[in-house]
Amino acid sequence: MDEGFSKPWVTTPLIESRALSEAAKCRVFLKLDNLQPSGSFKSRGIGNYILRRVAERRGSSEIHFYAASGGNAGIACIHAAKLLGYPATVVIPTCAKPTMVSKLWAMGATAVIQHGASIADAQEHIQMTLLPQDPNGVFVPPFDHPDIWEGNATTMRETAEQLGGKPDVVVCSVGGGGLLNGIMQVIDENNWSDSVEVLAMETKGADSLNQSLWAGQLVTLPKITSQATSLGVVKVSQKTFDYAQRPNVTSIVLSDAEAARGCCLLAEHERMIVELTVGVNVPVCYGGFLQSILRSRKTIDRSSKVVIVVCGGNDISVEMLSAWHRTLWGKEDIQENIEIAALRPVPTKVAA
Amino acid sequence: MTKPWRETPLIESAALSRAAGCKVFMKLDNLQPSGSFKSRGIGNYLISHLARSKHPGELTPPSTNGTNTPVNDGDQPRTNAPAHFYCSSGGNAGLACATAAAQLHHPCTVVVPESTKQLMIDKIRAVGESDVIVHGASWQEADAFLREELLSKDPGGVYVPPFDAPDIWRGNATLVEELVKQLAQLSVAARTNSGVGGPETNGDFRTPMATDETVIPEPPDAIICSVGGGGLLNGIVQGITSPSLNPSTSSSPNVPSWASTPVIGTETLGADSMASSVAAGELITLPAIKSAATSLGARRVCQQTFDYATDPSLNIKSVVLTDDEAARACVRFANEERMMVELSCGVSIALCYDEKRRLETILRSLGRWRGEDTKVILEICGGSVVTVEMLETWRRAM
Repeated sequence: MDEGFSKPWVTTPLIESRALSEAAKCRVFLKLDNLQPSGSFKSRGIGNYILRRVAERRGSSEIHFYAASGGNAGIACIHAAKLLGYPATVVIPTCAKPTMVSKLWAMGATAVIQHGASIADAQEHIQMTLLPQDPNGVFVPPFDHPDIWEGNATTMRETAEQLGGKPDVVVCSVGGGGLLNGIMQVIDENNWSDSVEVLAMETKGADSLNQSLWAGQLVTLPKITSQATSLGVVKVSQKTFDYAQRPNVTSIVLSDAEAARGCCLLAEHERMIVELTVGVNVPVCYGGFLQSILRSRKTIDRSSKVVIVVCGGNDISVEMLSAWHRTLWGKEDIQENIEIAALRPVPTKVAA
Repeated sequence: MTKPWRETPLIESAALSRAAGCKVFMKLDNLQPSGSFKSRGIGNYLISHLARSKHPGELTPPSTNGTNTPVNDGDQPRTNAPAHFYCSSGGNAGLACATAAAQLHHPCTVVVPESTKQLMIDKIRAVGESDVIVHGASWQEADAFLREELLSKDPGGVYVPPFDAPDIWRGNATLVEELVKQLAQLSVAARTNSGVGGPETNGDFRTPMATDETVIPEPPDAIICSVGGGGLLNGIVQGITSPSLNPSTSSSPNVPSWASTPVIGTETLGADSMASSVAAGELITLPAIKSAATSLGARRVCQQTFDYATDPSLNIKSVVLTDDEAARACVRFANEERMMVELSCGVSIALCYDEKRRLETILRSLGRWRGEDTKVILEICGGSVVTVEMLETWRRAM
C-alpha cells in the first residue's frame, strides 16, 4: 500500500447466517461490505484507484477527481477523495433520483453536476468539457480498470483469511463486473479454479453478462429494464466476459421480483436493508437451488462454505423495501418463481 | 472455550455526525450472533458458569470494582449433570441465552409469558436446540413456573438472569476493551492521513493491525447507551473504570481520564426507571411500563446501576426521550445506515438526531463539548423486535 495514507476502505466482518444456512442446508456466510464507509464494496476498488493516482502524483498538491456515476461509484469516489484531502466532482444524468443527488452532496462532493440523458453522456461531459479545462483533473472510471479490480480483490482475500481457507462457493452480483474480476483474480492467485465455484448473479433486464455468454461475444444491451439500476451497466468489461467463460463460473439471472424477495429475506433474518443488487444473491439459498445448480461441478453438503458478498449500496429505503414486502409476502415458494433466464451454456473455450 | 459473542466494528457515521454536529462512532453490537449486545453479557454468564463448574469449589471472583454484589444461583456448581440453562426472558436476553447455549452445545429452555410477541417466540425457536415454553400471563408467572417446575427438578439446571449479575456486566464490559483498541487504531490512522476525513477501523474479529497496545488512547467525550435494567450501562462503567485504563501515572494532566468519561444512559418515557430513581434519590420501581420499547421494560433498574448513576466521582447522565423520537430515529437510521434496530436502540440514536440538542447541552455542562471534534461513541445495542412492517408504520406516522 502507499506510504503514509489510510486506505479508504475497511476490513468488514464475515458473519455466518443461521437462517440462510438453515435454508441452504450448508454454511452460508455474509461478507458485510454494506458496512464500507461509502455504503458499498466500491470503497475498495474506487478507493484503490484513487490511492494509486495520488501516489503517482506525489509531487502534486492539487488533484481533482471526476466520476460519472449517480450511484455507488460516485459516492465511493467522493468519500475516498475527501478522506485523502482532495476535491471530487460527480456528473450524473438529469434523470437521477433526488435522494441520490442529496447523498452525493452529503458525502462531501465539491460539485454535483446533472447533465445529459445517460451515464455515457455524463462521462462524455467529463472527458470533453471538464477535464480539458482542469489540468489537475483525473477521471475515475466506475469499474473497468485493473486498479479497481485489485481493490475489489481485497474482498476475497479477507474472506479467505477470515474463513481460514478458501470457500466452496462465492455468490456475487455483476453490474460492470468489477467485483467478479477482483474475486477471480484471487482465485487465480491461489490456484483455486478447480475448487471454488462462483455464481455470477444478475437481474433480468440488467443481464449484460448473461446475454454476452449466450451470444458468444461481448454484447451491449440496448437499454436497462431492471429496477436494479446499480447493476445497470449495458456492457460488462472484457475481463469479466473472459472470466465468465471459465468452468467454475456460472452466470445466473433472476427476476427483479426474486431480487426483491431476497431483500425482504435479508431484512427479516439479518435486519439489514439492501438494494436489489444484493437481494438477487439471496434466493440461491432456498429450494435446494445451490445443490442443483452446482450438481455437475461440486457436491454441496452441510459443511460446504458458501459466501455471499453483501456488496451494499445506497439505492434503497424503508419505503421501497416495505412496498416489495407488501406485494411479495405470503406468496408461494420461491422455487416455483425462480426464472432462470439461462444457465451458462457449455462454452466453446476461449483461447488461453 | 468459544466465546458466544464477536468483536464488532466501530464505524464513524457521516449522517449521524452531521446531525449531531460532532463525530459519532457507532459500535455495531446489532451484529452480535443473537442480534443484540446481550450476546456479550449473557454469553459471558454462560461461559463463566461452565468454566467454574469445571473447577468445583472455586470461589466466585470479586467484581472488578470491588463492590459487594450478590452471588447468583448459577455461580455455584451443583453437580456433575451437564449444564442446562433456563431463562425467563421472551426478549433479547432469552434469544441471547438460546443462541449462546446452542453455540456452546448445551441445552436451554426459555419460558416466556403469553404476552410475548410471536415474532420473538419464533426467533428463539428458530435458533434450534432450545425449548421454548409459553406459560403465564406475566413475566412473574413465567419466571415462577421456570423456577418451581423446571429448575428445581433439574440437577443440571442453571438460572440465567436477564441483566442483574456481575458476570453479565463483565461480559458487557468487553465492548469497552474493544473500543480502546479501536480508538487506538483510529488515532494511528488519523496521524497518517493528509485529509480531514473518516477513520480506518478494523471490523474483523481477529487481532487487527499492529498498534502500540501499551499506549492508552484518549477516551471519547461520551458513550451513549440505552438503559433497560442497566446491565449494559454497568458493563460500560466497569469497562471505563478498569484499573488498566486508569493507571496512577497518568500520561498528561490535560487528557481526561477514562473513568471520567461521560456515560449517557437513554430511556424512553414510560420505561424510565433509571431517570425516575435518580430524580427520587432512591431506587424505585415503576408501577407499570407505558412505553412501546418493551425491551427497556424493566420496572426497576438494578442497585448497581442506581449506585453508578448517583456516584459523584462518575459522569453518568440520564436522558429520557419519547417513543416517537425513538421510532423516528429507527426509520432515519434504517434509511441512512441501512440497518434495522428496535425502539430500545432507537432511543439512543435519537439523542444524536435530537433537534433540541440535548447531547450538546449535557456535554457542555460537563466541559466536554469541543464542537465538531467532540468524539461520541453510540452503542448500537441492536435488538430483534423490529420488522419491515413496524418500520413502515413508524415511517408513515412521521
